[in-house]
Amino acid sequence: MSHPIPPETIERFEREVLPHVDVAYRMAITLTHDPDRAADLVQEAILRALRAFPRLQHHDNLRSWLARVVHTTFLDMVRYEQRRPVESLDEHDDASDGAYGFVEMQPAVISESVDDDFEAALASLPPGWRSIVHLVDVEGMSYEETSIALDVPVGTVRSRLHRARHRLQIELCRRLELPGCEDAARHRIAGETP
Amino acid sequence: MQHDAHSVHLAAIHDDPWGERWDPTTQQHLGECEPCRRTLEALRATLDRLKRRRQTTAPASLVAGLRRDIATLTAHHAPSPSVRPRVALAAALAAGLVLGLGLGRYLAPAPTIEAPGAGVEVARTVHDFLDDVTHDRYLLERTGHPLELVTDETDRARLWLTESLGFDVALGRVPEGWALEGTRVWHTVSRLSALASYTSPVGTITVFAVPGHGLAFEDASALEDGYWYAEGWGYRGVAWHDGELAWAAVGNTDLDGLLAWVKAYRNR
Repeated sequence: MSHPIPPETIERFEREVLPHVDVAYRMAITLTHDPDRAADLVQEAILRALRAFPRLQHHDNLRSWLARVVHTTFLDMVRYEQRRPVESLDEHDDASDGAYGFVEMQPAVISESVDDDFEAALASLPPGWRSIVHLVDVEGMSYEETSIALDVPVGTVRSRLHRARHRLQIELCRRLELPGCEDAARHRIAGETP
Repeated sequence: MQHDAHSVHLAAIHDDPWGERWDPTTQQHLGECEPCRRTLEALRATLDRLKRRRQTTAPASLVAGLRRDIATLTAHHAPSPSVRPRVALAAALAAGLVLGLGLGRYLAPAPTIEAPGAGVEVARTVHDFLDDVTHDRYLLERTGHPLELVTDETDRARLWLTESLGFDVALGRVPEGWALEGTRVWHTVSRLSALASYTSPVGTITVFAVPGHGLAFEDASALEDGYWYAEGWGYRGVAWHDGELAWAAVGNTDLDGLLAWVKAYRNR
């Protein structure tokens, strides 16, 4: 038997979940880099969230929960577009962690870099890393909240986050054509000591 | 330049750019290493830039559209109870390893049998499954019925799904007059699932297959011979269990027509 969604549940959803729609939209922007696609993603994610909402046991962290729905919905979207299994979208760069190289650039350059370069650098991260960077560095979530939101261990959040931050630096460096980027990138990928 | 000598400290910087948990040696190293300081400053500038994204808010038109969608769904598409007179509750339980956390940690518990040592908080039932797949069908209609692989060849679709999902999806063969349209990978009950779409004299039928471990087959309407039934989101769904997979067929035909379709599908 399938149950209707009671009006009080709908009201509760609107009261408790919709206030987090900004979080969902920002995450969708970070994931899609396109306002129209972000709006589509949020729309579908909210419908999925509404479907799952009556079965929610814990309502104490709806922000993380909604972020999770957005992330999962995005992976479905990407899988459809790229036609490949979802796991590879999150995992394929985990094994390439090496030692850390320098990314020597002036902070002011980053602050003033054009939006397109910054967005392109962010877009170069694997989706799973992008979600972690977004939840921690944009939304200010703790590692624990992010762990719940993305269903990965806290240690994975930590390791992917600092790899993602480092990769972001390298990508910015490359896109802004600053000196030393190639050394840093080669060091990062191959684990070499220049 | 011996970058390896700095790796530990640089990792600490990327892990904790604001220095809240730095080892004293990292602080000391920063005092001695100008490139490290520049790296740290650049990282902080990047993070400041990211933080400014928090000022972005959802467009008012999007929020208004969401409220309209919810109101429309509530009025016209919410699942409705549907019980056949001869329906009885069944107690066939799927055993085995519970797969995939998904949204499970948030969900209310339901009776399931878990494999010893599984210890995973997944509480999904065939009712959840049918509720999800009827809504999935609704979403697919909304999004223009997209398929990842358009083919009428069952073997090709099976191979593609099996390679994509990592489990064998033994699609049924359809009788003359029916046709496979294509397939795609999907999420249902928070698990990766197979989706195949068929045209038939009773309309378009969407078939879903998910790993069935941990799904409790006891809270949906039971039909005869191991079939379960539910309505939702304007569609009817029939579920069954076959080997390690739970299957469902969803359409907007009448129940007898859908059940007949499923039996013919399984028998081929």
